[in-house]
Amino acid sequence: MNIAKQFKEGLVTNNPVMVQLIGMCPTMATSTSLTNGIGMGLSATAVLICSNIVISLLRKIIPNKVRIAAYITIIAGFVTMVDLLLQAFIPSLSASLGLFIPLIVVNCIILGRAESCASKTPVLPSAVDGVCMGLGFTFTLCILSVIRELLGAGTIGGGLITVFSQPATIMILPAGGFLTLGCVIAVMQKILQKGE
Amino acid sequence: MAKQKNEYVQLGGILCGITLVVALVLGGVNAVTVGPIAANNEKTTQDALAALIPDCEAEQLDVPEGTTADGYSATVEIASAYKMTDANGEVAGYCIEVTPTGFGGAVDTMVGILPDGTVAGIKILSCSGETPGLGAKATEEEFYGQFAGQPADGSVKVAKDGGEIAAITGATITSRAVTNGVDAAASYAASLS
Repeated sequence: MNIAKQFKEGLVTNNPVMVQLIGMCPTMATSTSLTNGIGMGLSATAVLICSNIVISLLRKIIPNKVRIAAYITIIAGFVTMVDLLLQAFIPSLSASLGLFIPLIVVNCIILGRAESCASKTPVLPSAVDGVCMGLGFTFTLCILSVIRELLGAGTIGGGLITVFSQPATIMILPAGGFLTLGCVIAVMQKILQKGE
Repeated sequence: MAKQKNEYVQLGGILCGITLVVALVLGGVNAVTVGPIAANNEKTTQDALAALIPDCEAEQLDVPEGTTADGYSATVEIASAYKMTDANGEVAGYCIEVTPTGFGGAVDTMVGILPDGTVAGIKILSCSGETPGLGAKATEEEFYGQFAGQPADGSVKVAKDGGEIAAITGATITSRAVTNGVDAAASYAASLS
């Protein structure tokens, strides 16, 4: 087990959004402001760590034939828990993320990691994988949301500082999300190629 | 054949077991959070009531599920209604919670109506379906502040439809939804008094 390597993979070389290109739906939907991006990233990370641990613990019990149904049940359970806890204790975040929290259930990063990592790896490395992939997701959401928020709403940090008052609204609409993502991935690939 | 049957029983049993455990845990979490969630919702409502028509006793009126009222261009569902009574026991107005359909779902709005037939003000309780930076700007005072003092006779409209309310730039649908909600609340309040 090499934690440093796992971290590098999750954040950069095998980043779920920028390299594996999974989890697009929540990425587009929540990267409109930094607070939403961080909230979504951390909620998904929490679910990912928990589901990775439980699925790894049960990996010898869950029969291969019904594994997807079992994974989805476990993931949906954790998502509902996060949803209820947010509503009860951080209502402001719950209000702004609203619909997207239940959508973590179908976030393919979580099912993808359950399938390709947790179902065949012992508990500890699975948990670390959850942390790394989750942080990679959060990291990408932060980059995207800072760019989109600055250009699209003219503010930084979820409306904390107003930079200019005539923003390009398209940047916070879905089209702007794809434009930003494309550019960020291109820059990322350039950097990765240089590093090789 | 018998072997295959056993396999199905085993698969079903394991899935059933997992589902059972998840359900039990969720039941536990729900028991812990149900109180705070209800308290949060109640607090949001009470804060809105106190901000719209201050220093009053709010009495929740019975609104049957599915009650609607007409706005100027859409029919709007009435979620709840409160009768506001001041310290002298006189009716100081009504607060009507309406849920007009915005761009991405209901825009939950509390509308205060004064006895003199004007709008006391409005508060957006939640608009999680609206686009951040566009429709979600409905929660900013620059928009919702316009409604205070408007006539509560169904004539409140966005400027595009010939009224006085300046719509949020790029979010006509949200602006129109809120405006319709205000008109619907006004007509519902008129039916109460």
